[in-house]
Amino acid sequence: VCNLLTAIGESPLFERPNYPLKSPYRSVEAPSSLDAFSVKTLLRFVCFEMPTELNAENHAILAAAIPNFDVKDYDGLAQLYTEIKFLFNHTDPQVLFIGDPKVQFSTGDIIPATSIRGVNLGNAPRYNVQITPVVDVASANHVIEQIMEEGEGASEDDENSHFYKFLQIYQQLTAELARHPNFAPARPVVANPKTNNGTFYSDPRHINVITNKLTNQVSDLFDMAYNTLVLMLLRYFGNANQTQSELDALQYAAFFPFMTAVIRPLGEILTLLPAFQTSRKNPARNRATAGASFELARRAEYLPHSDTAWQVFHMQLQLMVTQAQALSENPRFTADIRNRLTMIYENLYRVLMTYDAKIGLGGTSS
Amino acid sequence: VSDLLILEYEGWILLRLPTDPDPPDEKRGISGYTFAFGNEPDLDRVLHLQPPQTFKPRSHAPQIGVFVQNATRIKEGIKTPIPALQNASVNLLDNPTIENRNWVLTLPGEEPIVPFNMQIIGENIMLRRKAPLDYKNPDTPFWQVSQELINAQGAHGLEFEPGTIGRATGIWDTLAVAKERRAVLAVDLEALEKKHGDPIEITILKARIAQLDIALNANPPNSDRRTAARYFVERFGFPMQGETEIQGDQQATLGGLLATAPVPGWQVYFWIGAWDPDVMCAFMQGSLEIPYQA
Repeated sequence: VCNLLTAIGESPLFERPNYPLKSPYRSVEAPSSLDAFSVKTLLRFVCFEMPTELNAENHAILAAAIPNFDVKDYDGLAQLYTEIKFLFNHTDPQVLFIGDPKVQFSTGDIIPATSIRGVNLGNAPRYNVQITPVVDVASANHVIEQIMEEGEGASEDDENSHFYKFLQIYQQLTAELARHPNFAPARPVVANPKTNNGTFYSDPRHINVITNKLTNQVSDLFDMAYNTLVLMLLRYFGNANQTQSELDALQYAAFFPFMTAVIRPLGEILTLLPAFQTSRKNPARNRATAGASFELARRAEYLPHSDTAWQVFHMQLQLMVTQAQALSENPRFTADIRNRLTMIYENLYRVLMTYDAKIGLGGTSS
Repeated sequence: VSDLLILEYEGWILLRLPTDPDPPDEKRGISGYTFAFGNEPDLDRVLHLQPPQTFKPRSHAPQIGVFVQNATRIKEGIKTPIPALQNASVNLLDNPTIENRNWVLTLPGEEPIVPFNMQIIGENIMLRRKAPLDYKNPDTPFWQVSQELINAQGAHGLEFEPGTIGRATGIWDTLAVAKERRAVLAVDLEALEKKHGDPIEITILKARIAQLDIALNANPPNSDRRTAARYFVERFGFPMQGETEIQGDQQATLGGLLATAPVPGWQVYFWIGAWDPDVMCAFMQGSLEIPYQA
């Protein structure tokens, strides 16, 4: 999507309202909310990924689960991408493709796997990820079709689509619950957890502010990591004037390490920690655990000045290293959680060390 | 030129690790293609060069164990066998892991093994040496060591070498191995279900078969990591320059005293490959060159 946007001279887009969201797309009757894994949640994902046409079998499954089910209530994404494709194909390419090709990225840019005996892997998918540069109508069509085939409004219920996979999980879970009604497949996470950081929420009914102070510190670190990641991605996808070394620094920090070795384990830790302060009056509430807020605490906008951006990322990383180290040494966490926090601290330390070296900033301090 | 003791070793190792994009400390496997199923112990990431003491590898795994195949002293170009180290067991101590940390430290295929503490136990002789990433500062945590030193001890990349794998293991057709494995697991499963066997074991077998099916149904054939990984090797080669321990009468068993100074150190070379994710085993083959004292 970023390639499509920047190909026509637009900025990459990461801005969105915070959770829970009302239906974000036209005629998709499914709100976006951070909830525990359940039949209800799964059905929401199934609806999000709804193709425009269903075979009779799948239609029957959903008709049994959703009152007054009509596939047309959920085809907004398909309509959206069909319209986008139409516009790409009916606008003068000379006028349309005005973006700088230097900000078009391919799979190898995002996931720089080593070549095999000097043979370039080309744009072959890696870890099921494939990113194609958009430079003309043909490549734009290819990318839009890939997005749709993978699930964002596919025309039919293909076996490789997200829709099909979610529907399979839904069927497996409902079958398991029929056999074992007490089966609880998820941790008791609260819906739409929020870090308690003084933010004012005009409608707090559908959110859960984390009141457990220890958990809140982890949530705060998660938010910082997530927001830094988004700013890095904006910078990565958005600027044609960055040097290769600067791009390498952002790529190195943002993709694999941050997503998998910092944000994911922090999110998993949060699902194990109590969301609220212990209450004698409401023991059920004591069992509730937190989760990742995925809250955009600041506007996800492009940092316009390169040198400033590098300094901001350095300072954010430095702050995260300090916070992660303090958390990893806090004896109030269990040993298992401290071990994970220690790994996160070490990973952040190393990310900062490498980022500084690639950008050409000063040394890392612990 | 010093005399050299050359040990050539090989064997199957056990390596139960989560795979990208799972975080390195994922215990059961979620997003990658390796998992701890049922009541199997957590994934430990440890390179087991000898059979683990606390649990059994999966059924149909090869015999685990790395042993010296040839032990030779080279003196002025003349080779003399060293019987005390023939068939000696080779081990890496202190729970060594391949440290990549989801690309935090290195790209895949370029990761170091940390810690690297090699032990060879022969007849009346035991050799042990550490290879810290920074031998001058051996206590520095690996995640703080300079990139240059990490790269120096890391693997040299993932290389596609079916010939190397075929010659070392006899496996030339990875898909055929996966098909055969699936067939024997299906037989095991049928037998277990017939006698109403342990439901956990049944679940484990079903899960393994499901993973093999993903690999066998991949299009184009052999494009899935579960089988394609078999043909790749990771090559390592570096001097071991850390703390050394030798037990036994070196004169009697080795015909002389081994050099233990940090420079030039003991040169270790090996590759790890033929990765079989179903049984989570890989093959290791290499050599260790130890100079004698002048």
